[in-house]
Amino acid sequence: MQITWNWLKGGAILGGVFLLAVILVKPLGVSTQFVIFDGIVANLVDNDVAKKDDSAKHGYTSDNAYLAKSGGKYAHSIEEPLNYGFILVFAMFAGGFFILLVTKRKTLEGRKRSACRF
Amino acid sequence: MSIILAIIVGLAFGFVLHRVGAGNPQYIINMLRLQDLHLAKVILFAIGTSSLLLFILLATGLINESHISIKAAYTGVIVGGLIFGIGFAVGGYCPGTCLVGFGGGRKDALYFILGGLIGAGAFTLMYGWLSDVFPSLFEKIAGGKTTLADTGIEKYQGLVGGDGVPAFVIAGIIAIIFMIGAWKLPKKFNV
Repeated sequence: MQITWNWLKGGAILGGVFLLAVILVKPLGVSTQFVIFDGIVANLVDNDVAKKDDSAKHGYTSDNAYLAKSGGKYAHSIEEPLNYGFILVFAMFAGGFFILLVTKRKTLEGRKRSACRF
Repeated sequence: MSIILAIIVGLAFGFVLHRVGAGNPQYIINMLRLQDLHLAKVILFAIGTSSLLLFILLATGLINESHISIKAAYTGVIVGGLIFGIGFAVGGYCPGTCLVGFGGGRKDALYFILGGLIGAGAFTLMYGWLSDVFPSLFEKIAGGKTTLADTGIEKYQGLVGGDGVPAFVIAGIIAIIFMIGAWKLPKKFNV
């Protein structure tokens, strides 16, 4: 599991994931979730960071201009963290963690095998 | 349902990013130093294959058009890109790969994530002031939500083609250039 995929295999599979994301939901995007995470933390401290606003396109607004923009899209994600974009971020972390687990197990097995030889 | 899809797509994306080496900052730093172009080849080939297939799906109507979302281009993106590039080269991570790197057990990725959260927080607080003082940063480029090859979706405009040349041919040519680039780029430069 430690060997990195070559560019052809890696590029083709990564391209497949890009496409799969668009077919199933929408193009992949991560960076906005940093703002959402900050907003969720700020909203825990001050419950008014994101608030309901029926006149906004997404039903939420904020006193912060960035969180209020695009019809309260970000404010909405802050109020309802169980949304696609936010969960995607944690699943990506889990994808990396899965490799860590498998690699560790293989390394341990390898050590056991080499230990048996002695 | 969208949560299940987020888990499936996120797991796959995280797993594959790690497998191609993007969770390791040394690959990214060596790519930016033009010393090891492995990741550049991976990225070029991934963009080439996915955009070619995407435009074929668009042309055949096999994809739900509401799933296509184009980010607006505006002047601030150029400034942001420069800042992003510095962070990319100094840290060796981007907002996606740091998550995968951290999941894969790298402690430096955690510091990068914390830095990203502080930076994103600072920008969120500054946004109102920035847009008042530097409105030119938010001026759209080429109509904002614009693509090179026309997607055929009404709310987005295409820059090239339209005169009887199907969009997937233009997208296909661009995609093939990317794929040939991936193939022909040397893996290593002896600098």
